[in-house]
Amino acid sequence: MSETETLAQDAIGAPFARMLQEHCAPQVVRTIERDGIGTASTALWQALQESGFIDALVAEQQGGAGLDLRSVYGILESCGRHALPLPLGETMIARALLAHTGHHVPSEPIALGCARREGNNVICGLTPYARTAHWALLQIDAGLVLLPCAQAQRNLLAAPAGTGELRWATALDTTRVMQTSASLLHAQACVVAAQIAGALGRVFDMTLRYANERVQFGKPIGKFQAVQHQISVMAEHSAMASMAARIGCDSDSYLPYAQRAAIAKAVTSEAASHVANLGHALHGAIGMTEEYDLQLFTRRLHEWRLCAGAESFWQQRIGADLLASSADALDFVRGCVGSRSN
Amino acid sequence: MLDAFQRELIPVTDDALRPAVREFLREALPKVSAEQRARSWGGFDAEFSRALAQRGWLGLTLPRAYGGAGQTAFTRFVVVEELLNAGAPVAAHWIADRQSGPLILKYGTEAQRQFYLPKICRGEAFFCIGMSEPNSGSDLASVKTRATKTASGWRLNGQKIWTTHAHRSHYMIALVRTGHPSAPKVGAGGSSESRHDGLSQLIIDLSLPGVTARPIRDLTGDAHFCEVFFQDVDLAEDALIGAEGSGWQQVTAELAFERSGPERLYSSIVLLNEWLAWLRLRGDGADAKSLALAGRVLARHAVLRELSISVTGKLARGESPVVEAALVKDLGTELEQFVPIAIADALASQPDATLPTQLLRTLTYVTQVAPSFSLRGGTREVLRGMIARGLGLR
Repeated sequence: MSETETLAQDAIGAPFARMLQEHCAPQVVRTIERDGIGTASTALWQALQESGFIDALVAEQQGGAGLDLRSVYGILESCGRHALPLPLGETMIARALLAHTGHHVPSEPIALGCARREGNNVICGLTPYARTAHWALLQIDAGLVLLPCAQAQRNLLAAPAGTGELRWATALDTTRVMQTSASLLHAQACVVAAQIAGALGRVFDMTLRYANERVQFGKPIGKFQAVQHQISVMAEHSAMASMAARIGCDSDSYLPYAQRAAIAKAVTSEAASHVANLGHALHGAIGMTEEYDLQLFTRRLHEWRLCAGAESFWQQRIGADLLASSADALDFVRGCVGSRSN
Repeated sequence: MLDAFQRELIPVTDDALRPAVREFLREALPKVSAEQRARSWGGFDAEFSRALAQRGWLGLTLPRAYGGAGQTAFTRFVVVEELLNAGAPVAAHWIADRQSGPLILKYGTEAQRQFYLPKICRGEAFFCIGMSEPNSGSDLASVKTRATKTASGWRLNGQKIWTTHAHRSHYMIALVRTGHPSAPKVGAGGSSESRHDGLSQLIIDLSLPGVTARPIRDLTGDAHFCEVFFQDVDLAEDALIGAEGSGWQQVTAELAFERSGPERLYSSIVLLNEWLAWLRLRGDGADAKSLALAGRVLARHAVLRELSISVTGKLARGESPVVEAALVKDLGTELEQFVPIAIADALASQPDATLPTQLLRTLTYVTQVAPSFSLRGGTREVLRGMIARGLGLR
């Protein structure tokens, strides 16, 4: 990435991060986790809407900023870093897709998911933000359909969790299905990977600070070699996850390249549980409490790992692509991530 | 520090070198077995190194005035990546090209540059690194080999060990004691500054009287690392490279070169590619577990390669990314060591499988040498300590 591109990315990501610092403090996250859709979530969504970031990926001729996925990486990562309890990244993708297909674009938060039909039911399992989304843009068969979440049964993973299954007990109105060549699964994998990278970065920062502050045996625990090495491992895996997520978002359009998305989700999912576990190990009992912020991020890391395919799903896809080609490891990797079209 | 890794692209002009390097490798290397190619940067072949030099691919980053190519760290990344990927025997020129040349360019006098650099670029001066001693491994600052001033230069006494290819190299750049550590400032152990004082780097002509290099056989039966003895070796004054007493700072900068290259990702690549080729040949399709393993390794390789390219970008801009290089090396060697362990399990998942002997011999070789991946160039524990220091924990 050139110097100018890096600056452009910061120019978008930095003000967004400042906005989340102001509007999405941990207490706001907790309130929305407690209430679900309510006053707090509506106020936060309104702030996001007014910021204009939600149309960053919508084409200019359709009234958006016309940015590509690469340019909004900082926004997506910040959503994870601040445990934003609303589907901003997903909504950004959904709005670009809906605008592109000429569909009406609702103003409320939109979740993404891959759904299947079962008798007269439409089921979308493991959907991030199932709790707080008003709409769900679903890939079903070869098309897309936008369904209202108010009419769905929401089977959440746990009480404060945002992730869960959405189940509509009505037959799908096939006239409302939009044909598309876009893969929601890959787009969602990139968004979730960037959020994982952000949450990992936050867990790492919190753990490093804690290790410098917490005194045992007469000195900060960060002075003990065993602790230092665990924190170094956290730094390594956070750096790896962040690079993986950037690779996923390295695209000149609002949708990712399939193989880059696969790499991003495979690597960040594996790092998610590893870094979450190390963060808890180093925090001790305080990290298990509701009042300490660590759990806001580690719970999400485990949930997001499950969403849009965990590591083995993507690893198998990458492996199948690799073996279907005749390339050696280096050429395969270069083909996936090594070049850019400009 | 995590913000330190920006995504960078290899310039198109550098990437364009790949076909020429591949063409060269097809011609220069006769059909070599996978088991042999797996030795890669352990494989010593002076003829091959000189042939590379003739193509202008040694000393790529050194200025043209000294016989180099005047190219960037990215150019070197591309050429080195191709050589390692092919399992080319690069050991003869490896150290000189990777770190001795840049070190001499950075700290050498004009006369030293004029003398050594053209030889390095022509593949006529092979270097080894004299760091470890029998009682100084990870604790490098405790080296005892000593050079004392004489009327005409230096007199060297002491011993180095684990010096790769010392018995076949022309020169060694050694970290030796030329002065005394400063008086301890606090407590009995002394502060780290005082322990790092009094160290210097010397270029030792290994053909001089008093130098003895003995290879030590390793667990695979190969002999690459050596013990080297110095008994009253008389060196000229200009054997000193850089400033007297600045050996520690110079070694630290040198290690950034040593740790940041793509080689920390490619030690198991020949085995990986052999295994992939075998999976493709099998015809009955790979099982889900093998597919996931291949995908896991490739995904990680792709990401670590980008981190390595990011570090290369820093080198190209003249920075010294010591901590970043340590981080990428630790991750890279972890993957390199995972590959033989995981492939072994995949291959032997059926007790009655018939497996190609060459693949198994390659696996066995890589499995045996894999522990060295995280020893050479600084152990995992040393690297994690450096990362912790970079994070402000020390």
